[in-house]
Amino acid sequence: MKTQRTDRIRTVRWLSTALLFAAILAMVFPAGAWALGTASGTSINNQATISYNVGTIPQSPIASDGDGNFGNGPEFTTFVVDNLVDLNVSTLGIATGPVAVTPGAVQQVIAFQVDNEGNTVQDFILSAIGQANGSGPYALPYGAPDNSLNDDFDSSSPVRLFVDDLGQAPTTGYTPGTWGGVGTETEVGYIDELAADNSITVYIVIDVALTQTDGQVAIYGMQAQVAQGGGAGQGAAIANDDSSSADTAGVDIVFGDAVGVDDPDQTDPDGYHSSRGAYRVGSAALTVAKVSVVQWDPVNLGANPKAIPHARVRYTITITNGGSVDADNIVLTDAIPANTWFYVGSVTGGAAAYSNDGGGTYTYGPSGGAYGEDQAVTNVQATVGTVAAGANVDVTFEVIIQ
Amino acid sequence: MKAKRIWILWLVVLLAIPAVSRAQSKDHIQLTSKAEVEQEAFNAEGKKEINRVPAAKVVPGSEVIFTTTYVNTSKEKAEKAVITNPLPEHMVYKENSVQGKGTQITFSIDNGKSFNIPAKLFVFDAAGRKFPARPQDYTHIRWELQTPLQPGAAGEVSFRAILK
Repeated sequence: MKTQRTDRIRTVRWLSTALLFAAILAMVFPAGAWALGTASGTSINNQATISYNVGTIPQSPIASDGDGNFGNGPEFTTFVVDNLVDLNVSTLGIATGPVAVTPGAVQQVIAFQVDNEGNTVQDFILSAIGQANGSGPYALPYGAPDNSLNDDFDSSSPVRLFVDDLGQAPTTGYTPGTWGGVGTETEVGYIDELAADNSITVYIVIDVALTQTDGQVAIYGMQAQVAQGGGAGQGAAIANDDSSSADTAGVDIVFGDAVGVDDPDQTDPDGYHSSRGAYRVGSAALTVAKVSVVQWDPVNLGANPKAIPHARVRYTITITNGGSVDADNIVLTDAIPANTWFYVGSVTGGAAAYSNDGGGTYTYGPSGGAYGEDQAVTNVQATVGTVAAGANVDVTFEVIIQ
Repeated sequence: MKAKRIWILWLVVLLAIPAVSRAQSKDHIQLTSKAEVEQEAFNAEGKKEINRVPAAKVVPGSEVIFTTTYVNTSKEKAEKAVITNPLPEHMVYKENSVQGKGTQITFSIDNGKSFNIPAKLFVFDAAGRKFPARPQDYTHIRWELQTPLQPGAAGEVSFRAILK
């Protein structure tokens, strides 16, 4: 009888332990997908169980102890997942090279993407890193030869930072120089509450002075620094991690970021990452050259004519655009030289207009005199229109030497 | 007759009382489990050495060493001892990292229902094609001691896993 009762007690104990074991299993293996980057603060629990016989009799399985104290029963061996800081900043639209800007343009945009590759929601503090004019070359994420450029100029007004409202990165087909994010953009110097494995679009915005010339480059880096997340407003910057101090029972911070080109620490993870972009001025660069050639004189006629009274002289004005951008709305004006008269109908290279009041108005209609001249014309105007980048246009007119 | 009924009543009462003692010291085997990470340090001579410290600064990608130590604290030998360790949630077994002197090591990919050596573990994809099971499919590790554990004898088994 005693053996029977002992058996039953043993069975009950075994059952309850088995139930406990099953409950532990259920806690360790909940249903559902396992996300990448285990969140900080998560407890990782481990427990082994040993089953054995004494002789041929199975004993109650024993669960492992995790706290070194056998008197208080078995518990999980546990540790807490710490806060991995890992961020990445990348420049958007790098396939087309530096952002093209024209002199005098305002609110010119370079877009960047900031990724939170850690396991905790963070704020990120943004800074625009400019370079000294005339310095360089600086490495850039564009294809050669734009992967290494000098810096020539700065924004003509304080550089501004913007963050995309909806907190998302542009999906495809970003057009450089534009706002490419998904939401509207707010001017603010930090990213608020970027969750782990999420990205956001941020922007550097500058103004370009009218005095900038064709080909000049301004280089700016977007730098992000990790800050405390989990609260409203800008969290405090996290300047140091806890790598050099002992693990605490709470959540410690570990920097795991790569070295960015404008990071303060160029060797080790420091909670910063950065990426550069550049603006390049594209402008028309016009030069004007003027030559004169005698066309005809009353004595030699067309053969080797000389510049004698009543000879006809042609002025050829060559407008050359040495810049990288078309020059539009070109209107050339020139004064009729002293001691000459305008030769009517001789303007070529653009729609002609004439002034008889020293260039005040161009509404005069010339009419030919004895030599084909109109002595009243003081200035001529030719509306050339566009001179394409790298091209040249000739405007000519002729005068009669008095 | 009455005595028998009273005896049965006592039995019912006894069965109704939940198991009381869970003090390990009364069991035959003391089982402890620890989680550690490897830390590089420079010793007194300035040479780099690797130490094991309690799991700390564990972040996604970290490798943790789980070690289970067993000691027979009783006067009887323990036979057919089997240690089973479910892989902790969020951790992936590191291939070929399991150790256990004097044990037969098997793995489960079906939440502990069955165990086998890695070469005999297979998974099926949606199309029903068979693939060898990968470390991320393992749900449990099992060590079966090949010889009885004598009174006073001890040993340890371990494996490494990486935090997702």
